[in-house]
Amino acid sequence: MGILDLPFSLDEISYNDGGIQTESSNVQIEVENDVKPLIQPYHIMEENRINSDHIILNRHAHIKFLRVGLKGLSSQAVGLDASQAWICYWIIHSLDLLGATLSKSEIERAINTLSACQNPTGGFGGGPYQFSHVAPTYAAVNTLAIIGTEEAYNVINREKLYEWFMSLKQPDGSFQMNEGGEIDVRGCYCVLATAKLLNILTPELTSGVAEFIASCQTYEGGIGGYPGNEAHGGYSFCGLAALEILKKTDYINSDSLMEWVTSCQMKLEGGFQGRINKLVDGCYSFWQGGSFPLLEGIYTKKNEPFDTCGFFDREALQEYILLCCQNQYGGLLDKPKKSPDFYHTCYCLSGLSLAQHYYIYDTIQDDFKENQELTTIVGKVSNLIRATHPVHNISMVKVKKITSYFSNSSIVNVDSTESLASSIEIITNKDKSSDN
Amino acid sequence: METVTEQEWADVERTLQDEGPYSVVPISYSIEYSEKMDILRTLMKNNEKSERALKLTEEIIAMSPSNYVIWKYRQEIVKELNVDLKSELDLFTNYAKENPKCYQLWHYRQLIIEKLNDPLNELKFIEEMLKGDDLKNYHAWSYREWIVKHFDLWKEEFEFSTSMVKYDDRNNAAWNYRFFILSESPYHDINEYLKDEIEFSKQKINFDPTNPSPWMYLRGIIEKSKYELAEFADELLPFCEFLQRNEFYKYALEFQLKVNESILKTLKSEKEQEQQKDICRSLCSKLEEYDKIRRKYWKFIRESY
Ligand SMILES: [Zn+2]
Repeated sequence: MGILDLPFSLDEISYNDGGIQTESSNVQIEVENDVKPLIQPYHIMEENRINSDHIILNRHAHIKFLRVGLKGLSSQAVGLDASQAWICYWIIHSLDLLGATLSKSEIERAINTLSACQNPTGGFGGGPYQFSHVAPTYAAVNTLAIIGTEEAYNVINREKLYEWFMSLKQPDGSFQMNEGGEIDVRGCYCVLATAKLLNILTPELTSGVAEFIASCQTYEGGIGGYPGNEAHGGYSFCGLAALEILKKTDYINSDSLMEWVTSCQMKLEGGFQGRINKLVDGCYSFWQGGSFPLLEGIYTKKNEPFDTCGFFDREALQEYILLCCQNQYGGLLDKPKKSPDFYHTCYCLSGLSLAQHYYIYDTIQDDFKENQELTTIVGKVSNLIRATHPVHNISMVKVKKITSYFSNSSIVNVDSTESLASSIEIITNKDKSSDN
Repeated sequence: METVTEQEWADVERTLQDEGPYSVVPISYSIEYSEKMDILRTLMKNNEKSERALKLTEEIIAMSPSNYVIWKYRQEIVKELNVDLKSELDLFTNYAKENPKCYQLWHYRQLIIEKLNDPLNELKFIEEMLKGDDLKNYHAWSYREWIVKHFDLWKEEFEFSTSMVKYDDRNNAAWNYRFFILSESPYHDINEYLKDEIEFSKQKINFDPTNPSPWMYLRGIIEKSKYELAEFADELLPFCEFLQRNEFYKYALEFQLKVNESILKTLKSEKEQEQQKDICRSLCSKLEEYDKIRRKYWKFIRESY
């Protein structure tokens, strides 16, 4: 239904501090005051209301913003020196969602840069000459998957990557982000999502992960980064998506997670906050919005019927992204008055994609698919962008392509003679079948 | 003209990043940064662990604090040269204040404190970070939990959580911390504290019924104890009703619903259950009206009984 069609004035649904001012309430009121003038002209109670068909996604401006970044970044980006693989992902995924095709030279250059980030000991660093780290590894593999050519896939050294992942594994099932690095739920998601795409998801790699994630669910229902930490949108998505990959979503209480994540959608802004009593932020459009297809998938698997249009206000989220998070010169942002950046562009667009497309869990294919009849578009019909995969956050088609590419490759475990024998058997059987 | 760096590092070859023109997202580094990085790459390749290398890492960290590679290298140099860890900690205190959301800075602190095996004044430092910058800083709270658990410093933390909740009642991170203390500390028995905690939450709810944090805490703490929500129905349902004598509050309605769901679980006869379900359904209908943004969710819950 959205906020724009709600027959209540914006002041009526505004935050009310009840006369008690604290730091939290003051900043909340400030943000609402920035948001209101942006949505007011389209609101149902506005006398000369602008028809919501006029709400547009500035597709060309965003594509231009992204392409400029792909060419090169200013010296101010020095703080992102160890995030080059991430920037590649944020930009290339955004371009893909917007339907922009990469040129041959852009593809070659991206493959070059990402190859330079890979280390012979396995995994990818944040940039060339940087040792491996789980987060840029996820970003690099996702980017290569989006590029989707055989040349891109062949950059990845699966065997070494697997060995390196195993070296990061902790006794409690979790993973360090790098050798001696920090441990949290992000690491679990990055490792498992990457391993799933590359078909290296072995029982040794996955053991204990579900238990670790379950221990991070808090009394609020959301998931924190580490046991005892506060429930947080980013970690909730990472934890839930990791459990989905493991097919172990029953390790957490999905009802209380659903209750918490629905409570994070803001009643006036329409976007999501990352934690309770925090401010709306465009990037949580994906981190919080991303939990819905996964949770709905759980209900489908449990055979619990629910309303076909899902659990959150898909229109309200699109309104926030389109009216409050677009920079007119390209790029998307956290909230009004902030500057655009590649990270927020990526996660605002990913959230927009999830709010437009409707996913259902296909119990036969054991994967998500789209129900196109339930696509919901706020504003111009041309605002529709590509459907992103709710677990991997790369477009649906690209997930299919890479998983089927690697589905026949297996990991040869030299330590175990048994698995070596069986893989030799697979190889010889293959030879036989190709002879016939 | 030679730059200062060039003279100082005359003996060190440069290892260029050299992605070539054929790359994406190249950063146009400042001359200073790329010179220093070119030197650093050589030092890392040669495994040089020297005073000058130590100094260089600090200079680069100042320009790019989230570069995890530099931190790791510095850690190795510090170990090799036996650098005084306390001075190392002091050195980065100011950086932490300038970059309060930097993962690497917090993790590095934790590694040093772990090595020293002494919590020093870290609790005070964290409090300053929270009050000086962001009362909800996730890294700061998470680090505090680690310190308290690792060094068995639970005893005064309950009081600390009280003071932080008082500082801003709407700081959910402080409420979460309070819950962490009562549920994890070996010196605090949640069941013994329950009565006081119910009072504490009620007082904060009375103060501002639209604040979700004490509502969630109240539910969480009862569910974590040996009791069920239903066992407090006689106290908490009238509390919610009195609170709403003039207007409805969505968090109060949600809380009433949870208590009533808990009661439902205790009922044996089908007729009683059906009556109880009606109460739950009508609360859901109210929530569909007063918590509009979640109306699809509340409809689902209403239809699920
Ligand atoms: Zn953000």
